[in-house]
Amino acid sequence: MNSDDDAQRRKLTFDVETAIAASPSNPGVFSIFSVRPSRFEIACTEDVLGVTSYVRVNNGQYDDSTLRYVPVFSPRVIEGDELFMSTRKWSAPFAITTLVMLSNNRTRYVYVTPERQRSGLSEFIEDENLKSFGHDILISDQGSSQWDDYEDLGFDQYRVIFFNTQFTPNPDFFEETNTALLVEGNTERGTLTFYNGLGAGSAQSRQIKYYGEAMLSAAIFSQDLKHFDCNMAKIADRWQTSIKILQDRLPTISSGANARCMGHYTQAQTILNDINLDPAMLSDADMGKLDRLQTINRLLLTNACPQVY
Amino acid sequence: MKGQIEFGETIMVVIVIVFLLVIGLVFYYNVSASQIRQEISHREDIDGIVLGKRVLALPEIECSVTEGGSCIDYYKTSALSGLIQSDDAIESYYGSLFGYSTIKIAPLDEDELGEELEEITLYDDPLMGEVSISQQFLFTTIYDAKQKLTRIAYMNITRYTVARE
Repeated sequence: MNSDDDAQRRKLTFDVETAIAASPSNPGVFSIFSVRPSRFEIACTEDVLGVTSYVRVNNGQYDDSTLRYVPVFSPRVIEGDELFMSTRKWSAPFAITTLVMLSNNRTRYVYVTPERQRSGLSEFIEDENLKSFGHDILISDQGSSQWDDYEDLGFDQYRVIFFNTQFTPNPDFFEETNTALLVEGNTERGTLTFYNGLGAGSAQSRQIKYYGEAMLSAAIFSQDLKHFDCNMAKIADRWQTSIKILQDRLPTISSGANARCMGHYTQAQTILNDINLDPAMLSDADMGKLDRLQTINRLLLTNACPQVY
Repeated sequence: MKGQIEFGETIMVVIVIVFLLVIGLVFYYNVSASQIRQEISHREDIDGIVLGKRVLALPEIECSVTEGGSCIDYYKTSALSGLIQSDDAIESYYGSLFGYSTIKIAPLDEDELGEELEEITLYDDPLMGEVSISQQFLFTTIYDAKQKLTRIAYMNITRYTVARE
């Protein structure tokens, strides 16, 4: 019996890791996997070779090589007979990599936002495929906030996203599996603060910046800042590769360009040489450079010159 | 005497039955082996197509936003090819994606549409020794940013696995 259980656990681990590893080939896709009722522990960790991730099924052995280069954002533990997976391409502003978001139907996502932000948030949830993950949108400024009256619906864990409203503790949600994210900004950029619980004394992380809707989606799914940072560290190399590709390509596409376009290409080359390579440590200056690169790309298109990316 | 004849007949019947059983087993084995070979070949084709799809989905070589669709950029692909050859860390990452394979992308000649584009060997890591080779071809569109032309190209994917006996 034990050897059968071990074999089934190993097979399930292999199947889940293979599905996750293959998912970046299909960006913008939402999938549901039916599995044997199991406990999945998803972790991002460092080893001698760098950063890697693994999926551990029912406290069994795990392999940390399959997901070494795949950024997987998820709660630390998912239990049940279904896995929900969504993939999104992250661009900043050029396409860099595909992010994988993992969860299930027993995790509830609760968005708390002021009334004036509700339609923009709903649009974001719709566009980013987040609508397929069980969620509620509560209004924070209707007399007494709807969040104050929100009751435990019996889910395994709750992830509360305070979107342009204050972090507000709720005494009904003290389980350590519940976490919160404070988002200040719009769906394209702003700042993030992770909370390790929903009680009054919950610890909060340092504030970090995000750029792009896909990065915000990834933060919504991350267990905490450590998990988010760990997976973003995998992306730093992809970002560097994308930049090198554009730098190597630039002389070819700019040769023979008119003087106006050459000016744009020179600026673009300067920006590419100067971009901060750690996506988890973006500053306002970094975002300014990315915006400038986006503007240059549009100007080149207007002038009928090959674009930088 | 009569008993001996009957015994002989019995032996003959047994021999014929055994002979028929052996023929049946050999036939069954050959059919099964043929089905297994077909299944392996089919899976190799799928694996090659999956690998090709993985290449086409690489964000770092996708066409600019104005082109859209399933399209790869010729000069980005050429630049990536150079980086894979010159940078060990980058080669290691793409080795984890592509395994033992050779991936070439060849724009089709279209003389009326401008200068010819050379074939790109995006990745080349063959397996040495006794290997089985499977080859698939996929078609894609490739964008020449310099001449602002979109062409048809084919991707030649050669996969290497340890030879089966």
